[in-house]
Amino acid sequence: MTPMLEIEKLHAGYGKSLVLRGINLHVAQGEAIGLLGPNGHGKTTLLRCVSALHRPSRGDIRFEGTSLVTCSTRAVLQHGIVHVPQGSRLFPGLTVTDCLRLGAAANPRRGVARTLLSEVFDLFPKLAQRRTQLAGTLSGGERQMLSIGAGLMAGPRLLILDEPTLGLSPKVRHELAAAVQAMRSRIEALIIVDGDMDLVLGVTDRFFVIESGQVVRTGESAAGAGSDQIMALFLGET
Amino acid sequence: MGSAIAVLVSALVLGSLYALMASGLSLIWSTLGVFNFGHGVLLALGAYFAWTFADQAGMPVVVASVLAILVLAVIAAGYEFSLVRPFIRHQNGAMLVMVATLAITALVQGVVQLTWGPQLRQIAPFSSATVAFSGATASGNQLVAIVAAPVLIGALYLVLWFTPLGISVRALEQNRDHARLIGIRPAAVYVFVVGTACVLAAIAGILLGGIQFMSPTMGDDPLMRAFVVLAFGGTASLGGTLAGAYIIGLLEAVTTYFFGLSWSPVIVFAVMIVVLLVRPEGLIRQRTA
Ligand SMILES: Nc1ncnc2c1ncn2[C@@H]1O[C@H](COP(=O)(O)OP(=O)(O)O)[C@@H](O)[C@H]1O
Ligand SMILES: [Mg+2]
Repeated sequence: MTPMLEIEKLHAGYGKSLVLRGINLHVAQGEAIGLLGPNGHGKTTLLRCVSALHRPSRGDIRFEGTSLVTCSTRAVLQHGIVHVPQGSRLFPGLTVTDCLRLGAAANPRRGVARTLLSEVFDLFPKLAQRRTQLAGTLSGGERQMLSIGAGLMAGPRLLILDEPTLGLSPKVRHELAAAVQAMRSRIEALIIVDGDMDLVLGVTDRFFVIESGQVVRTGESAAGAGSDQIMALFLGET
Repeated sequence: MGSAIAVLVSALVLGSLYALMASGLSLIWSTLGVFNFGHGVLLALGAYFAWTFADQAGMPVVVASVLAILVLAVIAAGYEFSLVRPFIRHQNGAMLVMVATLAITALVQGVVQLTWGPQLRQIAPFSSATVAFSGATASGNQLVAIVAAPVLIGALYLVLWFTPLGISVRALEQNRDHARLIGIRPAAVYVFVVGTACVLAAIAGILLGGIQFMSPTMGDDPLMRAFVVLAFGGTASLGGTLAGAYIIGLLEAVTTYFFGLSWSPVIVFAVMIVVLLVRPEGLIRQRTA
């Protein structure tokens, strides 16, 4: 069986500086994977390549056998790959409801916005309370919930979460972790990057450690939990 | 009393023209990050097409105007396709687009001169009726201008705030990457934005062409003033743009009345510099950070 997402010998960079140096990675149908590794080593760049916000210089990204490297960001989205970006401030001047509705704008299934909206509000009751508030007035945690909610409105098959708990308090982190667990059954596959290693290993099946733009280690998340070696790799103390 | 009202009418007409120009410019500025130097020639094209349809083809002025607006909408599509789309994705795309709009300005002014000649022309008025009020009179065209600008800009406001297309324009303005990630196509937004701005400029041109004589460079002054409006009113809100436009219109009408046509622009620009020294963020507070 071909994997859902295959990334092969991917190279990418900014100008002259090469950030990704031959990433190989695959995600099977139904699988959740975690990306770990120190900051600034290319995790976000990799995800931006998948969603066609950034063009790789070499290598291939295939979704169910179809290459994505020449697709537009919208076309990637319409394949069902939804990328919730790191640290987004969203659309500060739009209301929570407008942000969420906009998330469904490219959903190939027409007329599902209303149902999805109530599902997102069930998942994140705080957003329901603030539905008429401007996104720019939300707290960091609420903003992250809104980002994820807008992603869910697009009807993801493969959901990509980049640092969903960055800068959040432990309490809000737990809320988000619970939400990720809750939506796990509704999406076919998940890629999550996060600084909270326990969270990542807790919600995923496999993990990849990325360092200097390469996969330096991969394994089963259940086996990785609590491992000092992973922790050391994760913190970049090799 | 009569002269005060005459100044007020003139202020409102100028304010309306500048508002039509500035709202389109600010829409382009906030979505593309580009100052559209071509905005003045778009105004002139609107006027010349309306004149051709009315004066040469003998159509009623209203029909001629509608037709001219449609022609400008088509031109807008070409403008976006040839001047914006090929350049904007490059790293210094905004700069390239600005150079392209500057180049097209010179080109179109030449073409207009060659096509329509140097004669002074004026579009027939929408209505020959005038309204007299306390010793001052306002022409039909002036009244149309005074009413049209706020109505059209109000309509634009409703589109931007309450329609899916308008909301996606604002989303792209506020966060380009995230907008793309939820499936907004920048190219579609650009077509809408450039189209709307061209149509508003054409309407300004049609109104102006009925009030004064036309020339290929008739859009230069309104363009300059609209630029000042952007600095004054900020680009973040249509309300700010509208307020800025009427403030500049009033300033210009008053200074023209007291100091004459040649001193008025000097004073307007001097005031602008002083205002920007005191309040570099513009007169009107920006809506979004
Ligand atoms: N837009 C950009 N322009 C130039 N360099 C960038 C840009 N974005 C990221 N980088 C660089 O690329 C490297 C990888 O960054 P990133 O992919 O964000 O890593 P991570 O998500 O693992 O923290 C870093 O050295 C960063 O400075
Ligand atoms: Mg990152």
